[in-house]
Amino acid sequence: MIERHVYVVDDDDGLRASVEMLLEAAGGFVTLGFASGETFLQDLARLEAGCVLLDLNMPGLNGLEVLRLLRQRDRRFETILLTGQGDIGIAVEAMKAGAIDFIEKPYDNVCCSVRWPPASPGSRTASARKVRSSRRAKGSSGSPRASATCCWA
Amino acid sequence: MAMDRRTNGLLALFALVPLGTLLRAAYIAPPFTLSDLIQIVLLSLLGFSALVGAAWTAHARAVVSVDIERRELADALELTAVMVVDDCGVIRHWSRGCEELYGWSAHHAVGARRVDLLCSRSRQSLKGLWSSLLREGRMTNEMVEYHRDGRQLIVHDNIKLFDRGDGRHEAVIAVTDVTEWRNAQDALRLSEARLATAVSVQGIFIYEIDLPSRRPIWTTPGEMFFGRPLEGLASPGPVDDHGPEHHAHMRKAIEAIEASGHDRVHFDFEFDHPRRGKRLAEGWARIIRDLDGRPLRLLGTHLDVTERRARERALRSGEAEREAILATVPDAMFVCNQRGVVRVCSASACRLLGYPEEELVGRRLVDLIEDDRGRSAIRRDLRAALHRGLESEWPLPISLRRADGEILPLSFVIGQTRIDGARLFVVFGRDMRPAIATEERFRRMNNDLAQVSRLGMMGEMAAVLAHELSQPLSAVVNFLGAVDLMLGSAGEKDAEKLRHAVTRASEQASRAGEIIRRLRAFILRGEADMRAELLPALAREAAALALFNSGAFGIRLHYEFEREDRHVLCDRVQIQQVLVNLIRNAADAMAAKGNGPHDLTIATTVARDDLIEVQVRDSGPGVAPEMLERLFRPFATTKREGLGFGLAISRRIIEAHGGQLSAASVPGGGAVFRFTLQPMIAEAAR
Repeated sequence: MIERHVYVVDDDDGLRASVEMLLEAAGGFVTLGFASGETFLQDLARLEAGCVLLDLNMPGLNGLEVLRLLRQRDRRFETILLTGQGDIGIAVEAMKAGAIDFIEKPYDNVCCSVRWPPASPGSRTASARKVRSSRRAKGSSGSPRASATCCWA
Repeated sequence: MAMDRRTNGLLALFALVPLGTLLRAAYIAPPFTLSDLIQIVLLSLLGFSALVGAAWTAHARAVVSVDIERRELADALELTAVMVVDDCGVIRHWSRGCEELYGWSAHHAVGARRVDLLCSRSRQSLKGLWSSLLREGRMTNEMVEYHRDGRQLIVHDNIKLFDRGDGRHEAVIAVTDVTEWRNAQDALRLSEARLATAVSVQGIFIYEIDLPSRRPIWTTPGEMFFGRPLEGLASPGPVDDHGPEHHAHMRKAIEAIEASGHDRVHFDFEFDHPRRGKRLAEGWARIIRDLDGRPLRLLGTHLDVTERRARERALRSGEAEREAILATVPDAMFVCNQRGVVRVCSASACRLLGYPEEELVGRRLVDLIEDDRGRSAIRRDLRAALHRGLESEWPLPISLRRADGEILPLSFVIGQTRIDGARLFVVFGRDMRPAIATEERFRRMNNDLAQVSRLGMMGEMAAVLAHELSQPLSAVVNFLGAVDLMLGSAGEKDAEKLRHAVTRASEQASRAGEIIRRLRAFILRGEADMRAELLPALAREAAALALFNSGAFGIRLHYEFEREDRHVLCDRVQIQQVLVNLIRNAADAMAAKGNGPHDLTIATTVARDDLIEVQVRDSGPGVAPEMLERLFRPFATTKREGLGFGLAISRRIIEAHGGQLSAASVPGGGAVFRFTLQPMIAEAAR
């Protein structure tokens, strides 16, 4: 099985732990948590390519800032922004800055959104299409289980 | 003179003898006998001898008179100051005149050296004097010498050299005391020098006019004053209409004197200075009359006063400005000297401190200070502040005691300046009472607002709350999702892993509960503090708080209280929160409606069971019927911002007070919110 690396950057310990556990339970993911954007950016060089789940509201660097710095330094990562309150303005900002998705808490389909940099462009587009269609089909209110399974479908 | 009388008597005697002889001869008539002849011969001899005697007497008399004259002359000479000094400088003769002049008697003086006795000083050395005397034989010299009593004398020596014949010389010195004359001369020279200085320094022009001919007699040089030489000085014509310019000014003096009839006049005039332009001058003149009172001469001066007048004008306007500042400066202002003694104070200082100006001036400002810290501490503070100067933290809070004993809080700012080398302090004291009162009012207001804003902040708080709650709730969802996945997966069930996930989920759920519990505590903290409160006053305050700074303009507020002294039993803060909430809702509703009357009425009535009903009525759009039902549920809001907690909380508060909160639409537009409170009997309230 391919190891898919997911990096969870969130200052809330409980939430971070819960995401890591969910992904682990879903299987196939290698997760690593960071309590702040700064520590994540510090360790960037040592990390395998993967997907970053980035909380928007953090003390210190906020999610958007981390995202911009990350895009400047390393293009091996795909980023999904997580936020407590939805705001179209912020969502647009995030997509412009290079995020592949923008998820509002509480989120039940985090697994669906998690993508990783594919080995080849072809597989990437395929997987992206698959994820997007599944989200469209299920909607954002799908059960965690359904979302997770659709991820694996 | 006695000798003279004797010779006169002798002369008379000798004159009688020939007379007797002649008489005797008359009795002798011829024929002459021998005895007659002898008698005639004897008589002739007698007559002859008488003549001889008379002649001798006359001669003797002449000799005596010459002698007398000479002695008188010598006497007179003795009275003048004459001394004889030999070539060693030793006094040989000392006249009585010298005794009088110098105070030394001949007994003292003769034999002493003149230089030693009189401390003589001369412009020339004594040795030089003597040698030039030997050469010239006669000379004059001026010496400074001292009287026996120490007075300084200036003497004029008239010296003549005598050869004593034995190869030595003596000098006869006639001494004249010229002290007075010399002093007068010096004084005159000094006064002339002063006049010249005055003329040159002050640019004074002095002139004298002969009044009968109206011609200038003399003037000081004109360059200093007029900036150019005066015309017509060489042959001064009368001060007529066609003379040079300065004549015109002199004529002005004459005319002024003639017109006023006084002997002294004073007038101003202008003239053109070739370099300095138009100048302003003051003329002073006086008349000198002869013994009969006829005007003889006119003595006048011109003084250039351009700068002085400008200074005076500046000073006058400066003084006026100073007066204006002192009269109008709003702060108490004192100008103190180096020791802190008030020299000048402003009208506001007198008003603030309650003292008349004359009681403040001359007083030490420190003596007025009445401060808990003590005067020495104040003085130290002031000194330190002054030392630091501009960097120091003005103003300094200082309390002064008013005339009526009241303590007056002031804030001091002190500046210092130097005028003519003396240090001056300018003290500004601002009355802090209004500021303190304002501060106090704001503090109270803020306290009230803090209570109100607990409700007002609800909207903002709710947003934070949403974020706070979303975190643990998300975590719960995730943990439960993980559990779901674990249970659904085909592999063996790891009970430990499952329990761990469920425990974490329940932890996060508890965290969410805790947040909510804290919120409730925040909104309704502790027990209600039930007291008897005056309802109208409570309502008015609430209205003021609600509409304060709310930007709700144009709202007409009406009160309809059934009794002004109505007391109710309630928690003042909580009921005010309800009222503020209702009033703000009403104001917002009317603002949303836009134009139209914005009437807000707060009314109280006695309702059933003697409960007191409070109504908040507005002229807004009213409440839609379907909304009336949901109104008191949380999140039931028609406003764009706000979460709809306000009415829910308000209802809870009223219910906690044993009352009810209800809403209704008013026929004709608007909404009314009513709630009831327990009345308090006035006696029980005390």
